[in-house]
Amino acid sequence: MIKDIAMIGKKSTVIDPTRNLRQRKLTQNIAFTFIWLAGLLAVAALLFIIYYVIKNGMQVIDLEFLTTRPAGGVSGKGGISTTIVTTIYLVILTITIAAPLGIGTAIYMVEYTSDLSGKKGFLGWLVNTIRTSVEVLAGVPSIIFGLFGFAVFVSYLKLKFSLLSAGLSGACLVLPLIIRTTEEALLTVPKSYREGSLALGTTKWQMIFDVVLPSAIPGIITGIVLSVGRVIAETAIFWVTLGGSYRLPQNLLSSGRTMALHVYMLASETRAFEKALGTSAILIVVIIALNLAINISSRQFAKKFSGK
Amino acid sequence: MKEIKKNSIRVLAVLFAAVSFYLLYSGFEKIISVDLPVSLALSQPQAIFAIILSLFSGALAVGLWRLKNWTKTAISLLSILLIIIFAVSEIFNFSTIVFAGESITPLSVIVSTFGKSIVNLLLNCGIPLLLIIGLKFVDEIFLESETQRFIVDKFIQRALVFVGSSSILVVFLIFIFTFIESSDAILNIGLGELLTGTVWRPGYIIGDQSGQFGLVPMLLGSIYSTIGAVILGVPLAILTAILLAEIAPPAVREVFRPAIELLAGIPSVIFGLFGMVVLAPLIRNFEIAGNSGFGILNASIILAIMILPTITNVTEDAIRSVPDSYRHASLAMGATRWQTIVSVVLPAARSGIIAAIILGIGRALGETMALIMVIGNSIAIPVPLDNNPLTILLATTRTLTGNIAVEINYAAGVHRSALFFTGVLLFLLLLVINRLAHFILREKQPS
Amino acid sequence: MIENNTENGKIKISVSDFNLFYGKFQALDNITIDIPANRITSIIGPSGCGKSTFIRSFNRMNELIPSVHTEGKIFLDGRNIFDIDAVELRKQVGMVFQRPNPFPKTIFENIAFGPRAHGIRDHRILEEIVEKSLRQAVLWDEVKDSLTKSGLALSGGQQQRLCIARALAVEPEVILMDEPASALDPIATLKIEELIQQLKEKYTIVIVTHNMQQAARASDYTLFFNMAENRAGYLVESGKTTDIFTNPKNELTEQYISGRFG
Repeated sequence: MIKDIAMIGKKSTVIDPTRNLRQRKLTQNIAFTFIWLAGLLAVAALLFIIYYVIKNGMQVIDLEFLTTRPAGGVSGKGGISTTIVTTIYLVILTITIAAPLGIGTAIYMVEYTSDLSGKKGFLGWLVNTIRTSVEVLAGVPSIIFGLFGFAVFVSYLKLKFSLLSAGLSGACLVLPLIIRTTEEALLTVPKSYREGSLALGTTKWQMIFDVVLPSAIPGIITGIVLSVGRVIAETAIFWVTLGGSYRLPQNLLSSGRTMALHVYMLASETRAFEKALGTSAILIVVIIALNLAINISSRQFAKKFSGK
Repeated sequence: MKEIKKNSIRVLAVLFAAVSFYLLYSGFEKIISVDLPVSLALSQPQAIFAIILSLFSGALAVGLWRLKNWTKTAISLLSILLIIIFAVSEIFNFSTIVFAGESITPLSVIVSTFGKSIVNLLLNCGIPLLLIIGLKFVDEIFLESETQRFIVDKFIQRALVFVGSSSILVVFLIFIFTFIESSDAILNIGLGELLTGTVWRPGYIIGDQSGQFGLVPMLLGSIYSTIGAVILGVPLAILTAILLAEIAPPAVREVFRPAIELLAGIPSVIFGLFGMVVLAPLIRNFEIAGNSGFGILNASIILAIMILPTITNVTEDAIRSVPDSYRHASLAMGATRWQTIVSVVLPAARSGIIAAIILGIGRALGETMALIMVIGNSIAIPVPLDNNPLTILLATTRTLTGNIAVEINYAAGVHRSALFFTGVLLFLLLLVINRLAHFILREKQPS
Repeated sequence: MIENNTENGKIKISVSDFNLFYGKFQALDNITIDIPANRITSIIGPSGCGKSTFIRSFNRMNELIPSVHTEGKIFLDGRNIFDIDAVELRKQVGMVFQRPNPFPKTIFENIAFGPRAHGIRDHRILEEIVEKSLRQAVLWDEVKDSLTKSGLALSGGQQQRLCIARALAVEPEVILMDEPASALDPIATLKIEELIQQLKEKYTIVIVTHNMQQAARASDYTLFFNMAENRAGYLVESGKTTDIFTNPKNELTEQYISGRFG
């Protein structure tokens, strides 16, 4: 036993912890270096792309570029005025269609049926099906929405290549996004507000409209802004439902061209790469502005609920 | 004061009644003046429309007279609708004159057009605007019946069921329409040919009726480019996620995370453009016959950048959700942070990471426009350019998605149907992939 | 189960053989009691014995939970509350919650919310109602110059008085209070208790409280609830507060009051 006690405190000669530690730390440093490099590479790629596009695109942008229309055909001449306006039209149309449907669905899911998802019966089935449908829609790639829009709106409903076809298809595309963000926003409203309202003798809709929705507005707006970004960035779906006319749409049934579509058409049908870069530069600036807006507003939102 | 307000509304009610009578009269006049038997005359659309409008106007008149709240709401809403319609048409007009020209519109024209638009707008919208403002002014006169809010409540409850079902309707329609459109191809070309045929030649291009519709080249194109994207992008994405979740200080995170989000929001055509204008010349430096700079390598690089944000986000979430207690236990035993990450955190987050990769694959398979721009779009099966098997990366090919986008605008008949079939194939493939990812993610929750 | 003992005063709420179930679990077991008008009735008892559930039955807030079903009757001024529309009922029976829950709106809007929802839109009338309610809630002097401040910017005690004012604004006949002062500091608690004393002139008040001293000094009648072995809540004893606290008839009541359990 005395021998055993003498063993306490003696360093084992089989494994030397200190040497092993040095080795492990070296491995860690190498690994961390690679990890930092990876992250920096990712960010660098982003920055490089943005830098390249903006630097080369800026040269083309002037007043004429912004206010005259594309010349069409293979020349690549002309500006992008009609594409800017068409993009704006399309964004407004898509949001106008998708927002009421999306917000309404989210309200229905959160306020009217949140207790029903387990239940049997028609309503329980309905709620589950709605949820599944939203998930399915969220995973559909935009070309399929384009195909769908082509089949239903352009061909079957004979709307042809038009703002309306594109708007309806785009609305299907952003619907899951609006539903999800609105649901989240509604869920952050504390239950006590709802109880407080009902205890005062309001109807359910009064409670939703006068208490829940006002509190959830920031989150809902975030969802809408995200959808705007999505519509601006999308190409495939509009290529197949909007057509590609360089003219300005005269009404909801006219064809047109969004900025993203214009980039594609310039790049693939003409040699006017600088103009494509110019249009891309504007697109990137808009997307950056939208992202900033979302970041700032979600910070405000968090402040409002915690501090005040 | 209240009496004046009440009386002015009564005057308005009389006006609406007058309009109602006028419409009724002109409607009936139309019917009578036509030399047809009554039943046929009744089907005159204009007359019917006038009569319906007159009844509606009459209802509004009665509601106004009795100072009902619903009338006020109805008139306000209709006025707003009218104003919006007028405004929209003015905007369309204004844009056409100012923005659609071939040369810069002079400032004077812009100003004068704007002025004309405003004037037009005011003229058209004058009455609706007056109605809205006037009704707001006399707001408190309108009696709100106690039952009104109950009616609204019930109505909204019913209406929301339909609104909620819109998603179901869309999914349903997508299924139905794409399946129906593709049925032609399935019946006439056959699943066998479609799924295993190696030549895609729609036929009428060459002039003979029977075309060949094998999707294998496109299938391979999609698969190869996706594999390439995964090889390049997944390690990068996961390492970045580890960086953001475990290693980077908050200040760095504040910068990197928005940057990754921004990457996700950049339009795919810009990536395509980048591939055309920057990557293609770079790749052309490889001196190999047939190297155009476009092809699988180009596509893989761009696709890798595009799926990076998706994978990074989900992986980061998965890593974050590993409880701190695991990390603390490992560190307390004397392990380094890196050892902790490798032996404890990553294995615990394994299912989330797998789900992230699967989602990334789904995203890669669904990408369309960017790939069209850089992958070459040749219809042949991609093969190496020379003896070196690596040169397959330089082969040009086409993806399933690209196939649809490039040909749909001018395809007809069975060709078009085959393209829809491609869409159905993609849809089902991605459905399976997404369900798989969700299933894995949900399996994870209980822990 | 034990008979009540009201004075010759009127009965505001009459409960008869009332049972409440959460799915299969029974939460309230055969309660029969009368709540006198214009008095403060406090409900005491150990945690989990169904006190909150009981008063939430008076304004049918329990119906918001889907698994709840009830048996028995509750009468308000002789009318079965289950025959009245729940929304209407809640106008007559107001509630103040344990944690103050003002809306994220201005003080004015918080109080005007109820009347507005019931159809009052004339701004002058709303201003009168707001002032009257804030005075009744003893909050007017503190906030009369800052009615446009957010309700959330007030202190805890002020927020609770705001919630009371908000409940008063719809002019209910009964006010239910679920441990209204438990989330507040002692000074704020005192203020609330004084306020409640003043309110009983015009309103019938039923207050759930964990604080026995509060029940003893602030209420006219007391109901003592307990939890049975099957975890259902039942009424052990009821009567004038002074009687219950100085001369309880039931042994359990005596044990609870002297702190031997609960």
